[in-house]
Formats: sequence, structure tokens, C-alpha cells
Amino acid sequence: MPHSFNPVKRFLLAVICLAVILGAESAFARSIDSDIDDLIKALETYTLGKDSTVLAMIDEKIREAGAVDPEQRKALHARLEEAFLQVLQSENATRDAKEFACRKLRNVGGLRAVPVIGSLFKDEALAEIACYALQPMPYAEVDTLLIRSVAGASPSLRIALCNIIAQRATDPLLANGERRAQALKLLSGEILNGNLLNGDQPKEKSSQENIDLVDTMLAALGRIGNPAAAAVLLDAKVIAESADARLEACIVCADQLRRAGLFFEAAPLYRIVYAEGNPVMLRIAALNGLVQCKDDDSVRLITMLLYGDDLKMKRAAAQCMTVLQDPEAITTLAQDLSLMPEDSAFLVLTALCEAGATHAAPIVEQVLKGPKHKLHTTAIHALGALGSATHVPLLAKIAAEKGVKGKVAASSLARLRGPGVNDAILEQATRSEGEVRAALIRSMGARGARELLPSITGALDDPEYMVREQALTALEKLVSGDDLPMLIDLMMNGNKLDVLDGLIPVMTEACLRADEPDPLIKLLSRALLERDAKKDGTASDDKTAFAPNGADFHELARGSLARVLGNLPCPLSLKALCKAAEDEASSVRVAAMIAFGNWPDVAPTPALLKLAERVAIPEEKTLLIKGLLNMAGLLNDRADEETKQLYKAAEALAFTPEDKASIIRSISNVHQFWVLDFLAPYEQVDKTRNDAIEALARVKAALSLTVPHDASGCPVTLAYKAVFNPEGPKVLTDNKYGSDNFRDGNWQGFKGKDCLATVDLGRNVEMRSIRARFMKETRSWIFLPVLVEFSVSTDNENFTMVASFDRPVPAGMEDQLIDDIHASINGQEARYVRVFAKSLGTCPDWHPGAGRQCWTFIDEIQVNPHLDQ
Amino acid sequence: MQKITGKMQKITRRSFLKKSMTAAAACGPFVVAPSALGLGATPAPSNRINLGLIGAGEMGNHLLNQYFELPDAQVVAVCDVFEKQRMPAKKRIEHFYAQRAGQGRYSGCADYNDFRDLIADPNVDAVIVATPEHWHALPAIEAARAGKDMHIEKPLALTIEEGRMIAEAVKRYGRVFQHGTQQRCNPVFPRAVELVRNGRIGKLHTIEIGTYPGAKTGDHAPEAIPEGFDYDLWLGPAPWAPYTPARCHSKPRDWSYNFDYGGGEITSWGVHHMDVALWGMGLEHSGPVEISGTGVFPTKGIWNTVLSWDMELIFENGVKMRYTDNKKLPQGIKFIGTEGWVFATRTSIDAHPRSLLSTIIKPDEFHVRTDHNHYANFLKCIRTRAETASSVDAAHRSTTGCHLVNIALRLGRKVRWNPKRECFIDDPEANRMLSRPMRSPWRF
Repeated sequence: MPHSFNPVKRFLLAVICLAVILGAESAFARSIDSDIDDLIKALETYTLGKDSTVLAMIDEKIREAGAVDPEQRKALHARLEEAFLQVLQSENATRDAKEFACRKLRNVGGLRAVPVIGSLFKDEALAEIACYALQPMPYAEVDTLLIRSVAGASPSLRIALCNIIAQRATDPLLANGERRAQALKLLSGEILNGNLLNGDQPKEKSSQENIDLVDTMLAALGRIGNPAAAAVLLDAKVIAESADARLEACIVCADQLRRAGLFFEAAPLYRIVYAEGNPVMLRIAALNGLVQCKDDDSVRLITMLLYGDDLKMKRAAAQCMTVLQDPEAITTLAQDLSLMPEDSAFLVLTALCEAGATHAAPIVEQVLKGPKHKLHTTAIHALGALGSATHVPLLAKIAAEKGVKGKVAASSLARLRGPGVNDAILEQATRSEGEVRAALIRSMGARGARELLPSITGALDDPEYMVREQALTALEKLVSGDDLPMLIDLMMNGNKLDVLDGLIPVMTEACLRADEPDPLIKLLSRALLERDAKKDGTASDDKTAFAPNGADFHELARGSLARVLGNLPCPLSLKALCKAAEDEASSVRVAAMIAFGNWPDVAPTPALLKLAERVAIPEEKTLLIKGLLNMAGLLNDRADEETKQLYKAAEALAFTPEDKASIIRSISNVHQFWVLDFLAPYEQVDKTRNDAIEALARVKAALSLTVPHDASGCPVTLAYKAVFNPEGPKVLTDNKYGSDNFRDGNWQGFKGKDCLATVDLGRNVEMRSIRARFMKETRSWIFLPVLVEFSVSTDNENFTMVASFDRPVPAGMEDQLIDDIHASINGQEARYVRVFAKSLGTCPDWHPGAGRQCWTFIDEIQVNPHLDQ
Repeated sequence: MQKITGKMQKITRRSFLKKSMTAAAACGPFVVAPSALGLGATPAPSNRINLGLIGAGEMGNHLLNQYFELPDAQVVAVCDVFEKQRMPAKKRIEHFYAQRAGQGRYSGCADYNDFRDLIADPNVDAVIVATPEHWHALPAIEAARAGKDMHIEKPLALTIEEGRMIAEAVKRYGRVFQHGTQQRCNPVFPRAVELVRNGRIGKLHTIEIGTYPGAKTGDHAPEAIPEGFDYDLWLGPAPWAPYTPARCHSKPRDWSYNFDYGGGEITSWGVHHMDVALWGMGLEHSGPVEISGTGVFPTKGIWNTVLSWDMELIFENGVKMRYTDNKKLPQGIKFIGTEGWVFATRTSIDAHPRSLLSTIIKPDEFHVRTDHNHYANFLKCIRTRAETASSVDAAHRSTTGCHLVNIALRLGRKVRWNPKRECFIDDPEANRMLSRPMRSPWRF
């Protein structure tokens, strides 16, 4: 029987739960409250630089208060406020404690905090932070206090007070009519009644502090930004030093009025600022304001500026067009495009684009047809943004041209928006010929219009090569994995060589775009291996579709499919290509072998070795050699026997000097002793001698660098850990030299620090020579050490320096260099070898990284290298 | 996951296989592009845009490297209140241009202690502001007033109010503005945004952001101000505090971990992804409506910004954002929709289904039209007067999003935000944190 509560029990349980929750919350609030006294006591003695845990704990307390309900939070804030006020009033509290208390009162301070904070105005050290605390408090008492304090304050504090008064009077959350009126009264009284300096004041009053104060008050009026403030600003007479401050205040005030929809009140302020002779930037701002106020005069002003000489004002005028809301006004301004100076017309065209003024498209079209050739390219670009379907024929015609105009028109065709553009492009394409049709087909791809795919694929049959070429480009942009069956069909039924070739990247792209490429690769494999599916393909009569030696197009298409699979290396495609490599059709076999030559891993190796035993046609032998060399290159030194087998197989196939040369070049990258034997016979034959000599030199040089030495595999200790350290310090004695690529895993890099490496040889050894290599790659911030020292020791404590080398600091960017430092030693016995490389520290002054840490790179440390082996 | 470096490139499976083999060695010393050495063509001086750098610290020097690569720009002035930063930067600039010109000496870079002097320099066409955040608003507004275009480093401003003031000034004076959120021009993020904005992942419902965590330090006793350091000017509008290196410059960006001068990594790094998130949602003129979550603050020390955090932001379109440090979510941004997701980092993009990565964006769909070089984009827009990749409104809103996270964390509770009015809803306590007064005599 299911267990259930009756309603009374349920009610009681709910009451208990509620009580527990409320109790927990109250307990939490009490716990927050409990240690406030202790914290405040600790705060009173706080000074900056000493342990600030108490500050963090108080901040945490405020955050904890955020977790309780609003009523409790209010109580906690009141408690905190009381505590902070206690600090402010304490004679023993430090200045830093009071400063912190003010910062916190800014957030939690209530009405009773206002007079206490206000009393700090008398204290020069705390007056500013008192302003900081009072600024956001929403009480009228704060305003009264601030305004009352202005008169007796120091100039610096007066500026601070005026700033806050303005900030409060304009803050949308604090500002109200009364607050603004109070502020305005103070400011206008000071400015208009001559309490501060104006034009009639004696010169000696124009101290910088007074000027700052007047400017501050003017700025405050600007920020208040109501009609009363505007009236004060309009009437204000100030000395020359503050003239610009007044104009700027006018602009700020006018902008606020405009935003409030008070255009009529804003316009007079803008006109004052726009007056000729005022600073250009203020005039530009005023013009912008007038335009936004829809002032009747704005079109006239813009026109005058566009025909004027001042480029800055011209630019501003054109920019203003983008904010003109009235299409008629824009058309009025734009219709004189062909008459106005070219630089203005250029600016207007750009502005029209930015404004998206589609109604101006016919005017732009006229410019394009007009005599001002310098404007044509800009007009073509503008049509892309403003034009419609009706502009397709014009743009298509220009897009067929070579050069910049053609490119811009093609881009405009791709950008054209609005109804019917795709249909217009399609219709125009059917009507046009040659280059114009090609341009239109290209634009279909650039527009990303998949609905035009049938038309694009239809264009693959076009008699014009350039049209087919553009159709392939368009197709490559648009296809997805779903289109692969259609593309295979196109390929298998095609009759043009250029289309067969062009479809290869298209199909590759389609497969790469699929989430699941495997089914597509299977589809390709099936089509490739179904040899008898279509045998009736015949060469086209078209001269551009010339099939060599009367080859079967179906076979050529299968060859192209094999090339697509070659672009998609994976086990599935490999399986199909291995079969294709033994196909009856030469084009298919060749395509498969080309794929092996570029395959990114060694998976085809067994198939290639098998093929090597059978292949007979010279061209295919060459391709197979490339495949074998590719495999060998991928194996590198990892599998010695397999590498050798691959080279032997390639050697057996090679019969032309070119084949042999490619084998020699390839094997010169394999740094093994057996390679010397492999190359020796080639040195004896004239045709391969030079290549063999070069390869032998490379291999020998590499081998000499990696010959065994007494430090091979010995442990290395670094005093400072290398920052660039892919493999750890063991690479310093691993018998492998770092290449010219500092990222090859063999190098150890130290950033800004010296390198101090100690090698433990495990036993005392007679020292004959010590070598160490360093890299210089200044473009990558890698510099040679300025000093290198070799030292030896028998006990790892007492080291004797045996060699020392200085290296100059480069004076500018230099070529990369590997500095191989070698010291001959006179037979001293030692177990420990120490290499010290003093870093340059920071990049030199001329370097882009000047003053920042540079790098020191080292590899490898050798002791007694056995160079004679 | 596709690896992308530099320009967007078509990745075939083969190239991917090859790339993946070298990926392990991708970190390490810097590689300086040949163009940085002046190997490209140099335009005539009359065609060059003259730049002035304000703030020659770590970021300023990084930006110098970027602008050095652009032959149509020339840095003609540098400003820093610390002589030890200012003079080496000047020397570096002059050495670079001497080398580019193929001459032994060049002495055309002016140096200033006070940003107002640099802005007043008639040779300077545009300024790069790479100062601490408390020193963004005033130089930006002063530059706008003086008719200079500007590249302002991220985040835009120290407070929400300051951000709004910068945006107004930029628009008032018709200035070209570029925000230092260069992810806008990284090939990866625009692609992710196009996929999201065009509905390729279905209806977007969640965004996940992971970014660098904060840092802590101990208490530092006041020290003597170093010679050649105008400390009072460094503090500028911030509340007065005694000098100690950890406050200003002992390590790169130390100042950003103190709320007087920055907002920690939440604003410093997080603004990059916040920007992409708003962009992806098409909410560049809006912001979240609800912000909540938890964070861990330092238990002492001069740095007081958050160390780690796990926040949830809800936007007006109902999309939820989880914003954390990168110990909880991987570094990057993930947009999750009803039909898939796309995840972007600075070097890679991934998606499910993967075919999303190759979908074509049609002309009548939303396109991101941007350059692949953020700095060249700025110069281009100075010439064309077009809007840059990272506009001032977008800068203000993305920075605001990060400030809101900081405010919710500092209050220890959920806050509700009105993005239209740009204020907290029924929350006077939170509203007190929207602005800060400036230390006299500094003012807007």
C-alpha cells in the first residue's frame, strides 16, 4: 500500500521546512553580522602595504550580504555603514582605514553617512575620497552639501565638487528636476553673475586653476543639457581661454537636446558652433547635429561644403549624407554628382553606399555612363550595394572586361541583392555570349545560389572554353556531398577533357564538405571499378576536347575518379586505388600511381613493392619510383631495413638518368652508413656521378655530425630548466644534431637565462675535444650566447675551465647560423663536462623585441667525437 | 579541428594531416614576418598615416610590431609617463624606420610625457591608446575632440559611464574608431558568426565562453617613486594611492588586477569573447538582462579582482551564456543551437555537424565584411571613413557585458539589467557602480 501524508501532516511539514529555511537564513545573516566589530577594529589600524586580509574579509562580508533576502541585506548594510562611520569618526583610525571606509560607504552608505563624509572636506588628504563616496548617493542632502561646500573649497576641491554636481545632475538614475535646477542655479550664478572670471574680469584672475574651474562649470552645463542650460550657455561671455570650452559645452548640450527631440532648442546652439572661424572639429560636430535635427538649412550647408575647398569639411559633409533620413534630400544632393568636383563625387558615392540609398541607384548609373572616368570604378562598386536586377546586364558587360573594373563589376554582381537578381543573371546568361556569359556564370557561384546548380552544370556543355571554366569554378564553390552522384554522372558521361580535369577538384571538395565522407568514397570506388558500366563514350568533335590517341573517354573519366580518390587519402580509397593500379586501362593505372606518389602515410608500401615486380611500361615505372621514394621519405630513418628495401626496389625499376637522379637525391636524406655503399656505384658512372658525389657529401657530412662520442647518451643536468624543451635535456647528448629548424625537437631553448649544462660521463675520460652547437635566428629572437665556456671536473664540484669563446652581438638582422664551437683539450682526465653559455639577456635596441627576453638555443654537446670512424 | 593560421586558407584533408604533425611545435620563440623588416614597398610620406602611441608598455610595444608591418603607417610620436618605457620605445621606432628607409639614422619620433601634448601634435593623424583602463576615456575623448582617429585598446573603459561618454564623443566628432578586439579580423571568428547569424546551427540557445583566470599577489609596501616616472599623471583620474611597483608596472598588466585601474581578466581578456558573443547574436547594441553566478576573490593583496568565476548571463533573446575562466570551460567560444554547434578559438574552428564549416553564405544572407588584419582595417577605414571592424558601439556593449559580470560578482548576487536604459532594474546598490568620479582636476 503506498505511503502518504494526510493534509494536516503535509501542512505541518511545510511549516517546519519553512521555519528551518528561514532560521538558516537568519542564522546566516547573524553569522555575517557577528564578526563585524572585530573586523572594524582590525581595519582601524590598517596601513597600506601591511597585511590586507581584513580588507578582503570586509569585501567578502559585503558579498555574503548579497546572498540574503533584501530586508536582511538592508539591515546588514546599515550595520556595516555604522561600523564604517565609526572608523571615519575615530581619532585612532589610520588615514588608509578611513580611505577604505569611504570606498565602502560609496556602496552601502545611507543618509546618516552624508554629514560624516561631508566633514572630511576639511581634511585635504581625504576630501577627494569623500567626493568619491558621495557621488552615487541618491539623496537630496548630498546635493545640498555639495553646493554649500563649493564656496569655501580650495580650487582643486571646487573642481571636484563641480564635476560631481554635474555628474549627479546628468546621471539618468539620479537626475530629477530639482537636482538639475539646484545645479543650474549654482553654475549659472557663478558664470553669469561674474562670481567667476568673464571677459570683464582683471587679467590676474585668469590663473590656470580659475580657467580650469570655468571650463569645468561650462562642461557641467553642457552635460545638464536642458533648455535652461542652453539659455545660460547662449548668453555666457567668457574670456578667450575658455571660448572653446564654451563651444564644446554648447555641442554637448545641443546633442542632449537633440536626443530628447528638442530640435528647435538644439539648433541655435549648433549654429553658434558652426560659425566660420571656429575649430574645424567643432564645426563638423555642429553640422552633423544640424543634419540630425532635420534642419531646413542642412542640405544647403552640405552642398556648399561639397563645392568648397576644405577637404576635412567635404568629408564631414559627405558623411552627413549617411545620416540624412530624407530620401528626397539625398537624391537632391546626389543628382549633381557629375557636376561636383571629383573628390567630392567620390566621397558622395561612398556615402551613398554606406547609407544604403538604393533610390540613388539611377544617379549612380548615370555617373557610370558619364564622362568622368575616374569615378567609374567607384560607381561600379556602388551599384553592387545599391543596384537591383535591372543592373545585371550593365554589370555583366563590365565584368567581362579585363582589369580592375572587370573585377569590381564581378564583385558587384555577386553582391547585388533584391528580388529577381538570380533570375536576371540566368536570363542574361542565356542571352549573352562568350566573356559576358562566363562572367555571369562565375557570379552564380560567388552568389552561393545553389538553386542555379542546374544552369551551372548545363554550362559544362557550353562550346566556349571560358564558360566551362567559370562553370567549374562556380560548381566548386557550391557543391556539397549530396551532389556527388550527379557529379559522377557528369564525369562518366562527359566528353570534354577540360571538364574531366576540372571536375576533379569539384568532386574532392564535395567529399571534403560531407560529414561522413566514407559512403561517398565507396561510391567513387564503385564507379571507378565498374569498368563495363559504360563503354560507349566517344571523343567529342569539339577541338578543345581533344582526347589523346583516340582514348576512350569512359576510361579517361575513370582515371579522373582515381585522381579524386588520390585527393582523399584514407584506407577505403587506398583499397580502391590498389585495385586501380592493376587496371587494364592505362589512364586508371597512371592516376593510381600518381596518388601513391603523394600519399601522406606508408600504408601503400606492400602494394607498391608488389607492383614493382610487375610493372613494365616505362612511364609507369617512373611513377612507381616516385611512389616508392615517397614511402621511403615517410619512413625516413625509422625502419632501416624497409627503407633499404624500398630504395632497392626503386633502383631495380630505374633505367633513365632522371629516375636515377631522383633516387640519389632522395636517399641523400637518409643518414645511414649503408647509404654510402648504395651510392658508391653511381659515383662510377658518368651520368650519375655529379649527383652521387653531392649526395655522398651530404650523407658523409651528416654522419660525421652524428658519430658516436664519449658523451653519447650520458645524463645532462641543467641549472635552469629550458623553456623551449620539447624533449628534455637528453636531446643534448642523443647523437642527433638539431637542424636549421629550431622546432625540430633536438634543440633546447633558454629564454632570457644562461645555459649551464653538466654532462656526467659516468667515468673519468681522457679529454681530447669538446664541441657544442648554438643557433642564431634573430628574426625569431634567438641570439648566440655572448660567452661560451667549457669546464671539466672529476668530482662535479671543482671545475677547471678549459676553453672560453666570445661572440659579438649582431648589429642588425642577420641570416640564420649554427655556430659549432670546438675546443681541443690536452688529455686532461675528467668525468664531468660543463658547458656555460651566457645569454644576451634581452633583444638589442634595434630589434623589434628590444628590451624583451631573447632566446639561447643549444644542441648538441659532444666529448671526443670519433670523427675517424 | 581545423588549424588556421594567418589568412583563411582552404584546408584539405591532406594538408590537415601534414599540419597536425607539426602542431606540437607550434609554440615557442616569435617569428618576425619579413615585412616587419621593411622588405615591402614603402608609400610616399604624403600617403602615410602618422600614428601617435600613447602608452609604451607591453601592449603598446606589441601594437608597434603590428603597425610596423604596415607600410602605409608611420609612428611619429610616443607618449608614456615612464621615461624608462618612453625612451626605449622612441629609440626602437627610430631604429625601425631608419632600417626601413635604408639609412643609418632617423630621428623623426617625438616623445611626450603628457598625452595631451601628443594629441595636440599636428603631425599625428591618429592615436593608439594602450594605457591602463583608467586612462582610456580621457585620451579617447581628447583625441576625438582634436579630430584624431583612434585605436583604443580593450576593454574600452573603466566604467560603463565612461564607455558611453567615449562612444558619444567618437560619434559627435565623426572619428574613425577601432577597438583592440582583433578577433574581429581573425579568420575564425567571423566565420563562426556568419554560421550562427545565418541559422546554420538552428536556433541559438546557449553560448559558452572560457577565458584566462585572474591572478593574485601579496601586499606591497609603498616605495619611492622611480626617477623619470610621473606617478601623479599615471594615477590621473584614479583615487590617490601610494606608489608600489605591483600597482603599476612590476609585471605586464599588473594594474589590470586592481579595480581602480582595470577589471581583471573578466574585462581584459573576456571582452574578446564577449564581443564575439554579442556579434554572433546580433546584439551589438544591447546586452544581457540577467547576470548571476559565483566567483573567488583574493584573500589579500594589492590585486583585488576576481580569480576564478562561473557566471550565467541571460540575454533578451532568451539565449543563455555560461562565462567562466578556462579551468571550467575550454578557452574559446562555443555557440550551441538546436541543430548543431560551432566552437572557435584564435587558431581553430570546429563544428557539429562538420559540414557546417564549408557551407556557403549567400549574398542575401548575413555576411561579415572585414579584413584579415585588424590594424590594416583601421588604416583603411581612416582613408575611407567607413566603420571599422570593431565599432565604438560594439566596443561599449562588449565591455559593458564584462563590467556587469564584475558588478554581479562584487555584489555577490544576481542583478537584472536594462540594456536600453543602461541601468540596473530596481537595484540602487548596483546602480552606484555604473560610474566613478575622477580625481581633480580631471574631468570629462
